[in-house]
Amino acid sequence: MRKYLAIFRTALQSSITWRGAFWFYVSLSFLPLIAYYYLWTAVFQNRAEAAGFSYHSLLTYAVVALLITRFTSSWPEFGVMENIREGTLTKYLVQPTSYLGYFFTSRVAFRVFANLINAPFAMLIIYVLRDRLLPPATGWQWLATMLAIPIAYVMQFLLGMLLGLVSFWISEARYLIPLKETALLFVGGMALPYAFFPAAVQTMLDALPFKYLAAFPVEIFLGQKTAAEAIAGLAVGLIWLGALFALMKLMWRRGLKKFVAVGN
Amino acid sequence: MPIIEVRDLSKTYTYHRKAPGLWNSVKSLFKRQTLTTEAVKRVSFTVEAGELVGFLGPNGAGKTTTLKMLAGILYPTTGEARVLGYVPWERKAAYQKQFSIVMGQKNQLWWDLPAMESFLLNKEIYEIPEPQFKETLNELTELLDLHEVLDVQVRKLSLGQRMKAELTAALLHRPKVLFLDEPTIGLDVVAQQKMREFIKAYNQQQKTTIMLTSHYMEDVAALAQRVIIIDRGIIFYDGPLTGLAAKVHEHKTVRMTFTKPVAATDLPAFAHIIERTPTTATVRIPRKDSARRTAEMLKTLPIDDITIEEEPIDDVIRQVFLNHAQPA
Amino acid sequence: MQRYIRLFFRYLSTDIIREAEFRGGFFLLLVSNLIEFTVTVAFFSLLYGSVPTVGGWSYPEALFLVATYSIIGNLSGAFFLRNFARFSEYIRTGLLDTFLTKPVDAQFAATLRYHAISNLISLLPSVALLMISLHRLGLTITVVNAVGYVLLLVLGLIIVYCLWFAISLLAFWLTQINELQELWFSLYDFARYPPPIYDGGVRILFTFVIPVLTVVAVPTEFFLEHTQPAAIGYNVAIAATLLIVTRLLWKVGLRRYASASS
Repeated sequence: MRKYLAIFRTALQSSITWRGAFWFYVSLSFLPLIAYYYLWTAVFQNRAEAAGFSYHSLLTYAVVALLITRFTSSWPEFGVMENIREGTLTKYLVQPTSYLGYFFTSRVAFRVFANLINAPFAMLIIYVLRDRLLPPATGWQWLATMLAIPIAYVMQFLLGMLLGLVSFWISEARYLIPLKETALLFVGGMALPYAFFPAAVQTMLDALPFKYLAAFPVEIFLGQKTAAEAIAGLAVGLIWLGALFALMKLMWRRGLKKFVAVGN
Repeated sequence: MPIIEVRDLSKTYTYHRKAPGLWNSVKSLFKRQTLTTEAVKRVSFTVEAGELVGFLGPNGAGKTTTLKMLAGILYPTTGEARVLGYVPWERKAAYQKQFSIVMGQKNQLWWDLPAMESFLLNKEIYEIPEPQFKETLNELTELLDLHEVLDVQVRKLSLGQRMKAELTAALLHRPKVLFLDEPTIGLDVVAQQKMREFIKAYNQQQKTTIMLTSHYMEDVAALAQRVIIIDRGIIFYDGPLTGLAAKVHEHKTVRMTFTKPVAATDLPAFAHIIERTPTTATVRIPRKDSARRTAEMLKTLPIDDITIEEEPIDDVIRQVFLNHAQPA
Repeated sequence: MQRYIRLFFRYLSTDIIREAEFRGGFFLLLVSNLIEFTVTVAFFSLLYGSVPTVGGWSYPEALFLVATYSIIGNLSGAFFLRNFARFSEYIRTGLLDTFLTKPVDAQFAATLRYHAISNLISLLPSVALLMISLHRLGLTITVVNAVGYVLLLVLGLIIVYCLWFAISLLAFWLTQINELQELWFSLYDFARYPPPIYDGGVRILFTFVIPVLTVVAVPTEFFLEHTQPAAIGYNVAIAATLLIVTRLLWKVGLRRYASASS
């Protein structure tokens, strides 16, 4: 639809004016990798294996997990919370456009621009560590990982939206935002592979959607899933997205009713 | 067929109250007192196509609340309203394409981009055909003198320029109904004047139905053929401006500080006392000959400091209608 | 000096009243802090589940480090965060003037005016972790190591103040970036891991140029009894130097601010 193309274009232009700030945030987002590099290098000084990983595979895990989460991250919760808190939501409500559609489209535009800035950092990291990283052994693994990435993006967006929409009821929900980076990504397998978790916890994590944020795509990349498992996983991922989407729409409708009833 | 029909519209808000002090603050962590306020109480009126209606009242009178309900961004507690045949709070796209609301503090333009980009975006959102867009934009550019404004980042514009851009964005789709909430607030005197001229001209040329709220008498005096006065959620007056003219601008308010104590009896007879302490006095004097009367006070009273103000709108309204005490 | 102490407590009491208004926010903040703390501890717990030592540090030693890291983090969050987070706003909007025109040292006021006392509640789990790790290590608390630890903590806090302040001062030059404190958080993150894992250029960077590592490592190592007096002396020297250097930078930034105001 032309409408959404226009929103995309406008949001992209807006991102470009903010490029200075983008560079700042992007560089910060890659810093944790330095700590992880030294951590794993120190751990493997005097051992060859940890939780079933070798030095190279664990380092690859850390790098790929970070790259994927950085390339798919989305913080819609900030914008949504501000719109609700400041009441600026109303300016979208009077226009003949879906707020959710407007919002999603503009976030995608920001993400496209941010990834342009992410790219040189990613290339630098891969180049510097090239001797210690393990690329996938077969072509389908690349393909499956690529397919898992948009799922990771939409999941980050939906989870962020759910958090943002909570502010319809609890305006102080913004204090929960930092948890998204720490707790959510931890449970998504970004900091530590699931292999480090106790077996019972792993079973639980496997049943939850958070693995699609990092663990699932990275495990495919490292060849830890068979083709059948990968395809099944992707399908279940789509089902999760459907469920989260439905939940989001429900919260939106309920929350909007309250917003419009209470006044802003 | 009236374009806007409002019948028994009411809106009640709830809010919380906390008494000051540390102990009460701690208590409030666990229990708060919930109070309600009736912002709009059974308001009814109709507006015909092409009318320019001024919705006047002091702060907190219920004007913005009513406007928000007509724009569909607020549900009423009870009552009905229809604009262009639609129920506003159903927010149908067909309705949204035919009206616009401009609220003083909330801007719809993208902050970091030139206004033109936001206009182009609105073109797509409202599905305005290209030739109509061009024509409307040209007209508005001329009417509002937007030449300097179009290609500058919105955040770099002055408040007056930004308001012009906001207005333009709101009018690009040629709405049949325009709601303006405090359109002149924060603007300097010249910009206020220009704004009023534009609104008047636009209403006459385009026959757009316009409802504007304000707490400045000057806005309404300059613009509205018809005035609705609302206070504390109730409509006190709904009729032509001429009915009010006689009542308005009758008095001025004079505040004085004295160098030594002054008794009430020392103040001249024409000065109606509003507030008084031994060393200060706030009085109301008739507008006629106010300069001469003020000079007289300066001569006879030991005045240290003096300010002369227009009678606040709140006082005018209360004074005018306190006698009647019944809503229209 | 006494005046400034009194002033500080006045700031504190007005803030406590303000915080009590917080209501829902208070509880959420608490929950948020607790969850973050749990995640950090979980990380190390899981890591050490598969690996007995990291950089030569055992699990309880690492926990002690994490506890110290959290304590300093909570304290600096309670006393510094709200001020430094607004710094770029002060400069961008000219609000800094309100501090410059009062008869109180502007740096003192602008950097210590506001607090987030609710953060201090989060000290409880951190101190609990401290006790647990001491118990596991079989170490006892003596007057000497307790007092020394606390003093070194305070020293660490001073260094944190200076580093965070220095980063915030960048706002005088980088006016477009609102969230400079994120840079501080990213840097402080490095102090969470046992220091021996870093080597080479990065170790030098984080010990001598941006001394985040020494902030947490020195009090920890002191208590765990593998410290060197040189490290303590170094921290003292660094704290003093940074106080002076940041003060100078502040003055330079102010000159720029004052001449550019609109």
